[in-house]
Amino acid sequence: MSDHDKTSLDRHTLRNMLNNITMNAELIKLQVQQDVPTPQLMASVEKILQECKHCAHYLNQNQG
Amino acid sequence: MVDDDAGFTDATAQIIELLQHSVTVAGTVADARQCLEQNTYDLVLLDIMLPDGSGFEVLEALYRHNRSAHIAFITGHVAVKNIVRSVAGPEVSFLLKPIDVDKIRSLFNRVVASAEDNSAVTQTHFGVLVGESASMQALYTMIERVAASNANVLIQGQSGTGKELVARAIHNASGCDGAFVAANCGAIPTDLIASELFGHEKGAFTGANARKIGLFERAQGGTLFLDEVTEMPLDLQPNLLRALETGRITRVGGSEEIAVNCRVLSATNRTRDELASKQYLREDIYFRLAVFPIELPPLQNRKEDIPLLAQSFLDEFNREQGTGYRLDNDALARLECYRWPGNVRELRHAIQRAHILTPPDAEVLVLPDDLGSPFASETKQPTALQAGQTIEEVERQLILETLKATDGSKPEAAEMLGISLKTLYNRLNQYQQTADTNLESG
Repeated sequence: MSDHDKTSLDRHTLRNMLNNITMNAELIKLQVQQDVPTPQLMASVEKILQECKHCAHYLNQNQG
Repeated sequence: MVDDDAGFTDATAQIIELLQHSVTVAGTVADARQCLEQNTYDLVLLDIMLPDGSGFEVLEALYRHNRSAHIAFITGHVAVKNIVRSVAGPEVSFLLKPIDVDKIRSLFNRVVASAEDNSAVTQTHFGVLVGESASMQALYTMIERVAASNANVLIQGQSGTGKELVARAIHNASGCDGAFVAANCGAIPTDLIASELFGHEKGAFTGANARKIGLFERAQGGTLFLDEVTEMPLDLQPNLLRALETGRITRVGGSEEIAVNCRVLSATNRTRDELASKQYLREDIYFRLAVFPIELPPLQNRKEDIPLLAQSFLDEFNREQGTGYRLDNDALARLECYRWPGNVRELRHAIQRAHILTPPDAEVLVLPDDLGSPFASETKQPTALQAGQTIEEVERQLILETLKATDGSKPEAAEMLGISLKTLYNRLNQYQQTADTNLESG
């Protein structure tokens, strides 16, 4: 696998993380519109935060 | 929803539920096949590349079990759309990532509107049954009466008479809030029946990697339909009897008793005489399951329904394929003269085959010379995927076409296909090995 290929592998993983963040943000939008209880909202927020941390960790690990 | 990205499916499933739809998630081709065997769906959201195969394999299973479901592929790239459309046909939709709530809402609204249009074309009873003959009118009365009670129903009738549709009709007429959960007892391996019916706890047996909710619990507040119930081994029937008697189940490997509240509908193609003389069912369980037995008439006994049924099937295929064929009097006369030993299912297949055989520029449906023989085997699948290609070939074609579209860039192709680069290399190596083997053997 070339270096160029490895960079693209990162893009696939990062795209998945980004999609998960997007979906949870969309979920929160809907949850707010429908007045769902706060604990459910917080669970969705927590998932976004976790995914952001994974993302940062992944970028740190694959630097340079 | 068939996708192996748990983070994505978890959030998307919650969105779908907040939009007032119910959803089942499968992470692999195997899981999806199991779901399709047990339930029918209005819409299937499908990832293209899955850990144990491709979305096309799910598509094949879908065509086998539930031809009318709408299919929407989930993909990250517009370019993949055209390639998928060329092999999956023009009727599929696409959800492009990143997906927002409005896209999901719009897709579901379209599917619901389409289903309403479809039901408006043919007069149906309880949303699923077609026919106005005296025997069907009597059946509708029975369905109305039994739906108003909580009684368990045993539906008897020859193969192809529509036992599952009658079960759905009872479920629809009951107005209950829970789901309709269907299982084919003849298709579940003997050693998995208890786990399927009652669920299991994590670690209950080798391979039980997570807790599994069984059919009884999934049907909570709704209807559990046990097809081919007489194929369940006699020695396993006492477990079912106990659940029916007590309204409580215990998951395999668990100790807690769980109250279950669902109506149990069951079906068999065994005759009353066979049930009594050959002991397919224990007597005690028969009386629990058959509080209200219903016997479905063979199609031969309600020939006056053949034109209505044929028209409803033709309407369905016309809608799916964008055609406008009609039935003329000669065709109707031939349909009414045939015996239909395979009942309504065989009639549907005959119309389906005729629909495929009819030239595109024709106005009138052309029936095959021999109505019966082509349907002796019920495994033929008339799909866009069946133009002489195997699923492996379709998947291979998709990957090669994507590589062509990216000028051979594997990273770009992997990204377009929504798979890791490693998976792409693995598949390409696999194709190379197959080609080498073919060369050696050739």
